[in-house]
Amino acid sequence: MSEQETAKPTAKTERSAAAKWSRRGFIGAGVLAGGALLIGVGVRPGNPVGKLKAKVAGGAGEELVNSWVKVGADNVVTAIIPHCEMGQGAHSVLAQMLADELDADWSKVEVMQAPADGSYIVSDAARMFVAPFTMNAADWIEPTWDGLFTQIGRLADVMITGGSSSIRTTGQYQMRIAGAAARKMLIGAAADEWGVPTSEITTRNSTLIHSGSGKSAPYSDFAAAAANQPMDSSPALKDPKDYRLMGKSKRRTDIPAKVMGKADFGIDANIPGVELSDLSYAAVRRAPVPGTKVTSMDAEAAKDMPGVQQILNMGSFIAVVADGYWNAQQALNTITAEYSASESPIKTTADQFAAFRDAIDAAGDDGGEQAASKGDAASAFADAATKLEAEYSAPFLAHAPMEPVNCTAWVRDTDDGAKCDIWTSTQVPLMARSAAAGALGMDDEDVTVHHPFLGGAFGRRLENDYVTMAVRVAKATGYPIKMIWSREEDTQKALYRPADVSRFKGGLDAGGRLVAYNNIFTQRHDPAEASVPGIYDIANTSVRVAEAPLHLPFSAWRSVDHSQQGFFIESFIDEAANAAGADPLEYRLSMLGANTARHKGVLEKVAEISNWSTPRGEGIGLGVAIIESFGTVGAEVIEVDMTSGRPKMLNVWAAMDAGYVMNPDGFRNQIEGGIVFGLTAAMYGEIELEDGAVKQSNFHDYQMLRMDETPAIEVAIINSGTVPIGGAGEPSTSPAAPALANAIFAASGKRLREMPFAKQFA
Amino acid sequence: MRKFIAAITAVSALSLAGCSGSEVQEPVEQIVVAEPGKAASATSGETGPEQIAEPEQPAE
Repeated sequence: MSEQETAKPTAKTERSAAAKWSRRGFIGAGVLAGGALLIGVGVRPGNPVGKLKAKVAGGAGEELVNSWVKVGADNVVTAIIPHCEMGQGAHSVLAQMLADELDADWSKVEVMQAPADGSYIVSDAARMFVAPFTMNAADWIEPTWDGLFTQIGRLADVMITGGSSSIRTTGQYQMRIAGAAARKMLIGAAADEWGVPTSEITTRNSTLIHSGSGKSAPYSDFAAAAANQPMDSSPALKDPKDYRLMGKSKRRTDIPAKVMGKADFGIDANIPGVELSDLSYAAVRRAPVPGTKVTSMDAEAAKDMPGVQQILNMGSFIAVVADGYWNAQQALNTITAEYSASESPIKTTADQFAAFRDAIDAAGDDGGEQAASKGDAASAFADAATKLEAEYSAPFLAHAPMEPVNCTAWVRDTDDGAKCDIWTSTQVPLMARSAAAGALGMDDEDVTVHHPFLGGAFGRRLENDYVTMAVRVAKATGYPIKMIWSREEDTQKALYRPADVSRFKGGLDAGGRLVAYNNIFTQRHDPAEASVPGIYDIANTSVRVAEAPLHLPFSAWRSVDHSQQGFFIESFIDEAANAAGADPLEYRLSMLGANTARHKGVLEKVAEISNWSTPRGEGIGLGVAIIESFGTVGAEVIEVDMTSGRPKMLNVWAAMDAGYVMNPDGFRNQIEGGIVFGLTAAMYGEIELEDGAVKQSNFHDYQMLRMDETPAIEVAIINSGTVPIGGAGEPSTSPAAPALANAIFAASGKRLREMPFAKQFA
Repeated sequence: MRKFIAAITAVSALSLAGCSGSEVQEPVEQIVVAEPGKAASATSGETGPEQIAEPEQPAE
């Protein structure tokens, strides 16, 4: 992949960013009295550092400078990261951001997963999840917002990895400040010891230097004393010209352990004191239709199966506990069961889509809940020179993370009362703790969550259905169990990206400009703006939501509502361009509204790197889509060959503007992964219903994009210096489907309005 | 304000989603066939978080 990066942030831009951080730092200090801490900690005995040291810095010679930085006797600096690592590289890049501000020696920087502890809730991350529109609030209301969201974060256990948020919230507003504050504390301690002004001490590669006296010392010499220094919650942050680590493609810290097979994922959990050969495993089977229960089971055959220890009807699921996963699953397979009847009228995929269409029909041209409105879309449509009507649909999707759903749980009585430990792959460790406590009737403090690496998640591990199941089985057995779901169980009994139907009426004026846009659909979850074509200047817009029943439970799926809305909106814009007889990319440029310099930039960049204006051969077409999501503006062009009658994807070009990219290689990795994820859904992703249950069961009928089908991908990074910066994990997923559909239209004249695409060419 | 309340509700729902079915529920039926291997001996919280990444080699 080529590396194309444009202008670095200007000093002016970065100064404005620093000013914002300083303001927020001040506010953080300002709300101390209310018990809310922006960077988490004071350093006096009895403050959180004291409590946290035993949890995170209990090793010999380790000193906790503040909540996020510890220094070992060997001068190894450890960045304590509150987000989980699920392959997205968050651990590495957040450590980079902290280490850069700390002037740490990168070759001696390690990463530690922060424990599931309320001290590691980041106020700004909580705020972004709860009310992202407050992130740029007026100064006068900042103290109120910060204090409020710190409390909300703690009450709601908002220790979340998701929403493409790690760098733009925790990185920007926590790790950099924590690193700069720790550096200042180390300098303060050295200045006291050496009897020199702090202004005369410099730092480099985890070393304190006083040039005047010739003294120097590693950070480790002053780490303990630094912890007793006052902590500045608004330290000066580096100007981009001084970055040594930020903006650089540093290697991922988690990769060596993964390559060497040393990395622990949730499914690798070992319980201290329990030999692996002695651990019990649970296989589980839920009732097949959402909302139904197990009314009876016949387990006679299972009792005589090898290794079986217990068989449980837990009401909503059956569990078999055995001496190994294979024996547990094999025994479970012999159990027959009866289930309660479903009250849902939806039994099939056709029923679900009929319910969507009924709701949309009932809403008519002006019914439903108004999501966005401007001008008079109905009148403009009536008066339009050219009228367009189109209906699009998207299916349910499963997350299908590579690591099977699993949770190891141990519930027991101790001298201090009942306790529970769980080991699991989760994006929400504190919510997992609360879920386990709730299911057991325990206090949160009596539950300890261990959360190692995640083998993928894509939103699946924002849910805690599997945690409550595991702790209930562990409580019933009285001994630790490792529960592992089969692939079939997770494909058929999980939570899903919702299906939907979206209907459009659009009108063009005599010049081909889209002047009427009337859209209605049924599923609106998050982000709220996903359904609004806000980047375009359309004089008359009406976006509405009709309420419709949804048979399968909802779960956020990589890019959430953008995953459907991106396909709907960018396909319809493409149809408008075609109706206008315009070039699709030029048409988008001409339709851009106010404050769209970044959008213009990515469209022009993707046109350049894809050689958009160069004609392709017969049967080969280019399609484009542009979507702003999670703070990042992304445009993608896909080249597809339709000469065989089936789509063969040749190339994908993506131009992404996230403001400033902290690790270009990691960013590119996420963009490429997001594109492949989006193309997989576009081509194959479909969860169907039969008799109220999910039809698909495993990767043979829930297909992933194969290597030989995957196009070459080129990513251009645009560092526009925008503040706040954008995310990386999700923004490239949603443009992939519409860009592909538009490319297929360009190559073949066939307009695809339903996902997935592959079966339409069978 | 409506948007704010909706956001609060959404996060509350997200938080509570993990607790769905979280009322304490005993098994409807429990069949004990055999006892597992030897009992465990560690206590809660003893394990703590672990160092999960190797330090990067100074190759850059």
